[in-house]
Amino acid sequence: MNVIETKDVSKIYNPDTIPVYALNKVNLNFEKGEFTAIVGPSGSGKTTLLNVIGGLDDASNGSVMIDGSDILKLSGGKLIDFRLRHIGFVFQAYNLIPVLSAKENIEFIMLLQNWPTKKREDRTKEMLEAVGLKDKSGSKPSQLSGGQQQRVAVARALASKPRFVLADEPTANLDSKSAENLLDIMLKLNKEEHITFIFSTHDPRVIKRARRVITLEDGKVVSDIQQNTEQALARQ
Amino acid sequence: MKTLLKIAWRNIWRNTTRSLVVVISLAIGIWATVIILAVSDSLHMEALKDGIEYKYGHIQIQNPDFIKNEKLTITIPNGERILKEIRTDDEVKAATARTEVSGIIASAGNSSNVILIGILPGAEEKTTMLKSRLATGEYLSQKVRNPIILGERLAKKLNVKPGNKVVLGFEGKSGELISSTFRITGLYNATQTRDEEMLVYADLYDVTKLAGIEGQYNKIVIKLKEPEQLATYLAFLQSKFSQPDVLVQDWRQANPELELISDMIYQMDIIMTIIVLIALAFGIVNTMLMSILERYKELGILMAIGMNRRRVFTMIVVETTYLSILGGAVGMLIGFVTVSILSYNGINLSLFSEALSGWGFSDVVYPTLEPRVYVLITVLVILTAVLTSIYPAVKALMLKPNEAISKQN
Repeated sequence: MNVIETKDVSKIYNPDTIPVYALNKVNLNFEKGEFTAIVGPSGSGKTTLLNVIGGLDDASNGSVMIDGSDILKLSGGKLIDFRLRHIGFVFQAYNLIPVLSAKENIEFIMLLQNWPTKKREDRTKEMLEAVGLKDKSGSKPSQLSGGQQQRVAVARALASKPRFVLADEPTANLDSKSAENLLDIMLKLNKEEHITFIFSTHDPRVIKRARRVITLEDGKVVSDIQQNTEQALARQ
Repeated sequence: MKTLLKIAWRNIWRNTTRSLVVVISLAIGIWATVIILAVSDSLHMEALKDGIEYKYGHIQIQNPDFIKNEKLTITIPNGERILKEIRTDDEVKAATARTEVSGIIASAGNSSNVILIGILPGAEEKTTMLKSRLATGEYLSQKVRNPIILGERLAKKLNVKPGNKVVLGFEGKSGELISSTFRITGLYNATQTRDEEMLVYADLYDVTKLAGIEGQYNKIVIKLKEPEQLATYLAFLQSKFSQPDVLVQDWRQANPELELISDMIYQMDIIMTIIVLIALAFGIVNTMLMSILERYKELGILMAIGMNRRRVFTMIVVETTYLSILGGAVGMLIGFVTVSILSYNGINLSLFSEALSGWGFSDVVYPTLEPRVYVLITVLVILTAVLTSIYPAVKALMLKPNEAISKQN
């Protein structure tokens, strides 16, 4: 079952002068529970594709169908609400809310979604345990290491049980141990919660463990490979 | 909303120095406004008190023709009866009658133009506070013939003192010049220079007798028990003495210059307050724009993960409101303390005594401010802050999340 379907998605800069194709007729389908890496050299369009899928950027042409709705046609408040209800974001620079503690950051989206207090607190606790930061719940982002901050960011993205998570280079700023640890957590949550993960990455560690690897070059999909899940898991 | 309030509160303390600068500048602005308003309010009240308590009372009755042509002979028809009737009214604390005529006063060494006011010494004492202004000598003493009291400035100009004689000349009933000798019993001082130089007070019986208009008055001055009853009682009197040759006016109508001072002070208060609020508004816009610029990326993140524009807008408005409430509270507190101290000790403005006395103000001002003004200033400051925060908040809403996120990446 397709969660996301992109049809002829193009993003063109300077269309009237010297057109630059950030995305060039990208057609992709993503199914529920996928753990997919989008790879490619810098400037190949990875982040742009994630931004378009996540409704953070618009496309010049094409459509992005999610649950039968073309999110490129949503605007303003509807688009923000769509992101809130359906998409979890993990950013390269963690981007936690600096004035909130780890616990408060994790429950933030649930608060925006008006979850009942008890349910929200239980879920926050569950996510803190899942990312191994139960003892850091009261710490502010500035008191956490990069790896810990990114784990909080993953917990925040997953806490409200979105349909899919878009992660832009989530391990780029992490050391090997933190990156592996984060990948373990994400794979575990992917498996347990059946949440679709789509990454943009350069990181071979992520690529190795993805079940599907899509390669972009100059805004075009040049390869789309399913990896052996068993092998991937065995490599852990 | 609770989370939004929490985030907004924590946000303002992310840059403690900047927030403190805003809070302190708000506090100073409000403190200054409180002091300025308290000083002008007390000057205003003093001018009113001077007018009402010492000269005009709450209500005046006179012949309307007397206003156009201040002649001693233009009196209130049945003035004695009216005065008697008024004194029996429950609302009236005291009432007195006066005559007023322009004349010339002369001593052995000098002369000056004056307004001779004939008063009923006993009734005047109950109605106005003229007696309390006596600096030297006695009130209109019955022990001497034709007693008179002068302002200290006039006495200085005439080079006279209590006990000395002066000659007063004024126009009589048929236009003839009446001249008589008066003995100075006392000297008074007044807040207004002009009053001290121009107004001389004699016994009404002496003046009317000399002028040949015994039992007649130019003015009846009424002091009420409760000033709040002014409008009601004024309407009652206006209806009771609804005749063309009797004019009943309150102190505002009877003394337009007093109302002018009142209006002028009121307008100055408004202008000063507006200036302070504009200064505050610019300070707030500047600070909030800086704050938003610094958090451009973070606001983008918030919008990316699902915080809608209404919430972002509210968060920024709440941040500004927090700052203004803090600044407002501190400003009000130090303003209140300062006004309380000054209301006890007073502010010595003797350097400007000439200018102040020209407007009816004394050298030492004891600032006071009504509680409702504190409330009004607080409301205005918070309202200004909230309205001012709309611009930075709208600017924040215009950002595009993807551009904001990638800005520092």
